[in-house]
Amino acid sequence: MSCITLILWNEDDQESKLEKERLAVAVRGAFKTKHALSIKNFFPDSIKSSAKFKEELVQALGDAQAKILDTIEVDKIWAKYVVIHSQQSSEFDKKPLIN
Amino acid sequence: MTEKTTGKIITFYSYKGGTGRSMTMANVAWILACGGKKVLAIDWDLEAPGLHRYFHPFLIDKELTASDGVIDFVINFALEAVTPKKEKDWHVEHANIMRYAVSLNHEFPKGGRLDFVPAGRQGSSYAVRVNSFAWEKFYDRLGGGVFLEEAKKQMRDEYDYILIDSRTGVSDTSGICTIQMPDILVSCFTLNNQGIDGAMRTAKTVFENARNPVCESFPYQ
Repeated sequence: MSCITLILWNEDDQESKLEKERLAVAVRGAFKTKHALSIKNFFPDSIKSSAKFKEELVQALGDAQAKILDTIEVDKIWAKYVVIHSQQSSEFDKKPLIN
Repeated sequence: MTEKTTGKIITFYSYKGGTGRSMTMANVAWILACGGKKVLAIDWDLEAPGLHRYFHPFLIDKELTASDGVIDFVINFALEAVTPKKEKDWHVEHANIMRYAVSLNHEFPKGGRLDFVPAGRQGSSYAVRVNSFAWEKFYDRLGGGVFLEEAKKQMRDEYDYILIDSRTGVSDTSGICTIQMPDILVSCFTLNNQGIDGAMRTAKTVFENARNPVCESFPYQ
């Protein structure tokens, strides 16, 4: 499963400031694999404007979508259709390239 | 009974930018529509879309902030391809790129028509959608080549001419636009060494990969 977790943060709140490190540890613990993979946008804590938030969210959604397309199994009916069609004509089963 | 058309797909390509490729294509599309032809113009220059600038006065959504296009067409197919289905021919509907076409707001003589498929909805997420789309996987994993063949068939049935504005250079999409998609490739270049060399190299690759290649030369000044 792919998911994006949003943690809202108030920089002016004393309790939030004091608990920040504990939260970071908890997030690292909850997403051990992601943390171990050093994913570039793992727990970014520098989002300070709605514009930056929108930018990060769009990027995270794009990354999640790319991962879904890369890993989820292809629909069986379509995969079968592609195999049959490729047997008849295998011209474009690879991306055409200009050298 | 309505006669079915078997349209010609023509890609306009240039190895280098600044050759007037998009402007030429926009004008050819316009002239053909004025001659009573049904024309579809597609902006497949995903990294730097600009064909809409030439159609600007005739578009309702002038900045394309609400109009989906080529990138949405391939992403929507890709997402469907990884979703389990029950229907056998689900891809046929998705291969209809005309769903993304907008008609130019102009009355052409002799029943002519000019429709336009933009590169994609313009906005803050456009660059991410283009840059994160993996064309290699689209072909290898998702059968994108077969999907595009179905799209070509549907476009040919609907239009007399389908004109594609290709990306320059040797990018992901320029190979698709110049080798898989067209019946005719128009290679534009300016008279300098880089332009001429690039046009020659492209022509050579297309010749090696195309079905029944024929070369014709026209003056272009």
